[in-house]
Amino acid sequence: MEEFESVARAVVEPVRRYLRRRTDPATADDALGEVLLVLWRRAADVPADPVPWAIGVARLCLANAERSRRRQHRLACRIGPGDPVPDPAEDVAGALDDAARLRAALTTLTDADAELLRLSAWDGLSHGQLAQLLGTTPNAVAIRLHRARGRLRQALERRDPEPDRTGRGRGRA
Amino acid sequence: MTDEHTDAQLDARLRAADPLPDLPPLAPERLDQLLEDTVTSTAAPTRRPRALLLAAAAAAVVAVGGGALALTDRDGGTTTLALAAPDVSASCAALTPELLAESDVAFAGRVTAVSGGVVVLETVQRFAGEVGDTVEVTQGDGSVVDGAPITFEQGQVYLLSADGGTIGSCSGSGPDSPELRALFDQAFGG
Repeated sequence: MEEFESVARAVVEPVRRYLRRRTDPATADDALGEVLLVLWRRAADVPADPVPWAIGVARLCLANAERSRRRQHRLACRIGPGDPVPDPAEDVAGALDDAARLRAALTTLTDADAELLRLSAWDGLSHGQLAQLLGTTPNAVAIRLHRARGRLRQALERRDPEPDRTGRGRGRA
Repeated sequence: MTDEHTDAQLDARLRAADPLPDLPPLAPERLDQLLEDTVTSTAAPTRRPRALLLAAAAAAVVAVGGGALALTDRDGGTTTLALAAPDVSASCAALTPELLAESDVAFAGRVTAVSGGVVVLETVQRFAGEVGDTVEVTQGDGSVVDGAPITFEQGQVYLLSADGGTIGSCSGSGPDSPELRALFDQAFGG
């Protein structure tokens, strides 16, 4: 019981942030509850560093939620055509700032590449933690990250051939 | 161009693109409540009995790394499925009958042939959806291949479920076992 509490407190923020980066707040809340439930039920399986493990559980919970969502979407498609919902956060009047450009480039990569980069840069997982999450070695993670960065660069250049000025580009175009 | 984009710079740009740079942490009371809810919810009378929880855990373990089965085609008596990349995680939420019941397709099949990355199963029982008399499962392309995919063995019966042509690691597929079968029976009304 105390063990569950200490583990849960250690993972709750990384997991919550992981989820909120990838889905809407309500789905994130639901998934967070599920992750904690799995953590509670499977306390014996939780490894020494619980964060990658918990994020792994969160990935699957999110995948399940997304599947339900796709099913509802398919149902909606059968009922009648619907307009695609634009993401209001992106591409306002064509004024993509660098962050939006990066996020757009990420979506052109394979899920595996994009997610690896997100897990590294956004969720701050170390090579060791990524290795634990992906069931591989830190070396393999380093190689995959290197390749994924290369493909992200290519995607950025394809989409936006002009060199970026500052590398941060928070300015409004 | 490439000089400018060193790995560190690219990482910095990526971090700057974090859609959620400053989410405040949960309020302590809210966290306490969440943990309390978690611990008490398993004791609530609506939960499944412990034996079933164990069964669910076993099924979940079976499904770990099972990857995605993509329903690619259905031609007459043969349903074709592709076994895509396994999930990148080796952890799995407990499989519930409710989750399983959402599958479009669920069936039991006996492996009649395994060759060249194609597994042929003879359908022995249909739980949900339209399933041909034979089902072909092919190995799909995977970019991140981690965890152990389902290993199909000649003559062995498998319980497989797919949703929208896709089955995630947690959606309940694996060798026929009393535990998994109990979940299938419960999910699809026996």
